[in-house]
Amino acid sequence: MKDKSVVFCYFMTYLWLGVMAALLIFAPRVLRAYMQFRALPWEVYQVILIDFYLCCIPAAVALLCLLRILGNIRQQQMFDRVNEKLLRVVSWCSLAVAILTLAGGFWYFPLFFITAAMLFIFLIVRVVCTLLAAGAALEEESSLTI
Amino acid sequence: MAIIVNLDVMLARRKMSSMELAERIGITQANLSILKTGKAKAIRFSTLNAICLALDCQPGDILEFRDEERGADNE
Repeated sequence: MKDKSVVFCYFMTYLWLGVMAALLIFAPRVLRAYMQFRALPWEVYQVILIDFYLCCIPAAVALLCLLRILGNIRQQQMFDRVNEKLLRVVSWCSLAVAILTLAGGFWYFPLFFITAAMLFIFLIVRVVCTLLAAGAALEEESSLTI
Repeated sequence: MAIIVNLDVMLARRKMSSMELAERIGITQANLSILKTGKAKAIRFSTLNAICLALDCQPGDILEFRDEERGADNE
């Protein structure tokens, strides 16, 4: 059951990496089609495109961190200080995306919804981080009990 | 930590090696080393019982409390 979950997470992470890589190449085309569909001005196109490319950096970092966490879980290192640090990086990445979309939201209002979602994710990941830190402390104590 | 593990002293008194003690009490040498070097966070009663049995001593012979805070104040 646990293995299935890890495999599923691996699949989803690689899928997101693939989607991101594809969007890095096709984003201008996809966005241009969207602009024509919604009849939005050229200025908005540039803002969304710049915002998207900037957001790709923290997103890629977060996905790579998740891959490393999944690798550690596979090696039975769940409650580990390294995992806690990696998860903290993920939380900062989500905050970075929130800030970037917040800035973009002044040109294109719907980006504020992404900001709200990313702030919510930031909060959840921070809580999980705290939980992982407590777990790591317990694990450390347990392994140092002779 | 204020609790000092005097396992080395007891081992020397009993002329027993760490390896022999580890074998007798059924723990790994790595864990015994953690205990000897004072890196351990806790000790199980079962382990303490086995050590006392193997070294024919009392828990007080192995564990010692040193008030480091007061010691530092006195200095």
